[in-house]
Amino acid sequence: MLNVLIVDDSLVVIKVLKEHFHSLGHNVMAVATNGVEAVELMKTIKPDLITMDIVMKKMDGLEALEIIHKINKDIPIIMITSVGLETTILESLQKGAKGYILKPITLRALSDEIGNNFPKYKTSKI
Amino acid sequence: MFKNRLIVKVLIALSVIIVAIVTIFSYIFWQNDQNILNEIRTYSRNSAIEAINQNEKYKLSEDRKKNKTNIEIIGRHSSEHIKNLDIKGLREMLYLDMQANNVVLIQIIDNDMDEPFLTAVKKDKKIIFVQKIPNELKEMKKLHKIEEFKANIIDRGSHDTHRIHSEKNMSIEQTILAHNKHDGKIIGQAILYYDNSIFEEKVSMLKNDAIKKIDKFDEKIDEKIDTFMMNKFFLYFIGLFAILITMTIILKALVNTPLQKLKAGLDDFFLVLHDKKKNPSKIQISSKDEFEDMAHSVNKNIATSVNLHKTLSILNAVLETKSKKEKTLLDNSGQGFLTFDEDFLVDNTYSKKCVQLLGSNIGDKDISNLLSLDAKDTSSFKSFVLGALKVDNKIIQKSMLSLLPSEITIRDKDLQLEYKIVEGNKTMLIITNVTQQNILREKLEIEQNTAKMMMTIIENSASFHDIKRDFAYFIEHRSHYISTSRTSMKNMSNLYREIHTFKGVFSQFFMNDIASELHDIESQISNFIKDGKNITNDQILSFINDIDFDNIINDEYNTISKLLGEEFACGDNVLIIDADSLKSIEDRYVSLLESCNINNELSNNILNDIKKHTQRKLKSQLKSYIGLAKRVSQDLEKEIYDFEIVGDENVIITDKLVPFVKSLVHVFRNSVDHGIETPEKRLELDKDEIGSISCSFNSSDDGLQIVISDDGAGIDIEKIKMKISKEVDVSSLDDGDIYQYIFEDDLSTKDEISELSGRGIGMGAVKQVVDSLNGTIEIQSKINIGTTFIFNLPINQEEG
Repeated sequence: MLNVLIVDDSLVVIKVLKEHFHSLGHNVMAVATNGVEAVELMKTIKPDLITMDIVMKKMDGLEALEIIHKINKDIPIIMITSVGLETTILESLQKGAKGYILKPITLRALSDEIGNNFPKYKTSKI
Repeated sequence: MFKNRLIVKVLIALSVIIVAIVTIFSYIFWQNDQNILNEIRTYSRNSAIEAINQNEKYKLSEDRKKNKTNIEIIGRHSSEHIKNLDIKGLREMLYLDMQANNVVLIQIIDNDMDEPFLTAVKKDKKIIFVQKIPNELKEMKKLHKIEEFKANIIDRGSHDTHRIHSEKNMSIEQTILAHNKHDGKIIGQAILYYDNSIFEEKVSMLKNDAIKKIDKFDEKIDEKIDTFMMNKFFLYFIGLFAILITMTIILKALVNTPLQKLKAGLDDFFLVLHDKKKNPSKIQISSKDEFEDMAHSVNKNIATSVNLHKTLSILNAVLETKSKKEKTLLDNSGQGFLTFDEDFLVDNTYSKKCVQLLGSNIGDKDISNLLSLDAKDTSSFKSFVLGALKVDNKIIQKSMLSLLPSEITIRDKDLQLEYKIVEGNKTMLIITNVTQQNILREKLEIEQNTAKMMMTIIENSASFHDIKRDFAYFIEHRSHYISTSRTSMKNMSNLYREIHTFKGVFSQFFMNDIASELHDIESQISNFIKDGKNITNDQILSFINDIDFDNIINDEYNTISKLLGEEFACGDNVLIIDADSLKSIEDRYVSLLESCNINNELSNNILNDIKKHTQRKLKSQLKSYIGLAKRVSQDLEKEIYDFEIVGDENVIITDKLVPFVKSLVHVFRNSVDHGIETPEKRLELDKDEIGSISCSFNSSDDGLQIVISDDGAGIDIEKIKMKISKEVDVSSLDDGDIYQYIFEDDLSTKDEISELSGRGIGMGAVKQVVDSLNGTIEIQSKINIGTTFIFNLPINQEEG
């Protein structure tokens, strides 16, 4: 079971991610609604995985990614984003993100990304 | 020299080692010699100085003894001279004593006198006599080490003669001792000053002389040692040179020559490997040492390698033929394969299929041009590829590649693109032609849509036929909608409203082709309205008459009749029994009942059953809007709960009510589009993210009441006020009145015009129908809580 930190300012995305993570048997240990909160949270918790929205009001995902990467670069960060931000996705991958999921988020995409980063959770098909 | 690099290296190493050892040892020996030499030198110097010092001490003590004796003698002989005041005699006596070295002053003091009796002083090596002590002596006392020797002058009277006699055979010391035994009166004192320093100066001069002589001797010895050292070094170098020459000769003979032979042999072998020579020559060394063993072993290995080489070339040839076959295989597969470098120019080793898919000659051309990417896409394409090439992590590389376009359409072909990073930092592009698949998929989608359309039509066959009939009527009488008695604006609005309603209804039945055609017509009319008054009624008339509606409806109507049968498509009713015959059945039954005066439960039930089939039911009609609302919400990415229509099953729709029920499509659409918010918005507002719509109706003697409500955003009354404030005095109106303005054709409180609910025109259509029935529409709304529409229609059911 992985302990997950969700960083997203959309309540719907948070809800969907939570449901997906639960159905995959993982634990959402904390939720941050912007980059500042996420960085603050990282001082006290140590999640196994972080999902990070790219577009957020207070400190966007890229900035938060960089700061969190400095704090602990072993935690895989998966970017949550929508179509049309491909260049930003590339930038985030270059800055250390371990993968990305396009909205709308599907269980399959999430499971694949988890499997990529944690081979023991690799599932052949859902 | 260049060929003998090994020897040079060995010689350099050897000479460095020898020179280092020799230097270290010479340094240690030289250091040792120096130490011994220094010890000897210090010893001889010290002993010389020691001898001089001894001599000085002895001389000093001798001098002291002499001075002591002299002053005693002076003291003894002075008494007579003092008594007789014989200064002359005293001078003569002192003169002799003053001759002695280092004596600087002799003083004779008469105790009866205040001043000294006589003083003899050496001045500029002359002896002078004075009474007082000259000042020079005082100064001399300060500068030099002056020793004082004193003796008393004693008056012995008559004893003197006797004593002189007895002194004849005595030494001076004995005489003095003898004199001292006879006490007499001390009449004065004789003092002798003796200057030590003069003597010491002499001694130190002697010492310096000795040291100088020793130093001179040392220098001579040093010179001799230097010459000896030079000779020693010369010998060392000759020795070193001899060793090096010997080593060169030995190395050349034992190492270099065999090595050169080995090298020649191996060169020969490489020529064979490069297929420039057929067989290698053997290496011949017979030195009876390791080199000979080595030559044997190398010879053996060369022989084996040459054999392997021959086998390998055969295998290579086989492989080449095989890879050629593989390329042909790739060429003939349905996919195109090509690779490109960081310069994005396609390598010349692409498969044949690429030519067919991308163009005749693609080698060395820019891949982004071949894929017809625009400037923006090209720059991101290149940055994604370069990004992926730089990353080592396979997962991230895959993620980056997935950002690249996965499907493009070039020259009417749909191409699926797959990317891989292959060896040599190249990107491989696998192109699959998926045009056929896409066509099939589209066909499938159309088929699915047709199936949905059929299902909806079968489920709601009655209303389908109504619409079909109404639309046919509209097409036939479309010119009547343009009345010369009305303004062109009014005519256009009416026409627009009519077409808008039909569009909504057809799309409710998934008849997408007709709906989209109608949408186009609607948009054109909308543009006319925007243009305003320049359009005349005649122009509108010719516009509407010119539209080939038959063509619009034919495709989908044909499909329906093909699938459901000619009878169904053309007939007005689903039933095999047509409506008229059923009606006559009903009529006959009613007249039968009346004539027999029967009025019981059973007969009523039978009558109702018959009526069920001849009449349209409000509830089932309204139910068709549930599906519509759900579909609309999906299109808008919203969610609503399934809902039930609450009301009496038996309420039927009279002919008069048909247009009203049809117009309700706008109310449901409005509720979903303008009412229900997006799930995000709803969550933010702390509402259930899934919206609710409810619909109920009640029929009574007073009339029919239909209530449709949603829990959406509500109507923003301030926005309406703002819009109408230019034309109406808002302050005199209550909320109910203001809500009525949403039925105005050009009012939509949602800012952007949505394709689904059109341009705020739908609600106007509803209002128009309700007005024609003398009904009322009541609106209740609260921001973020929801909106309720209450329709009251004063219709007696039995009248229908």
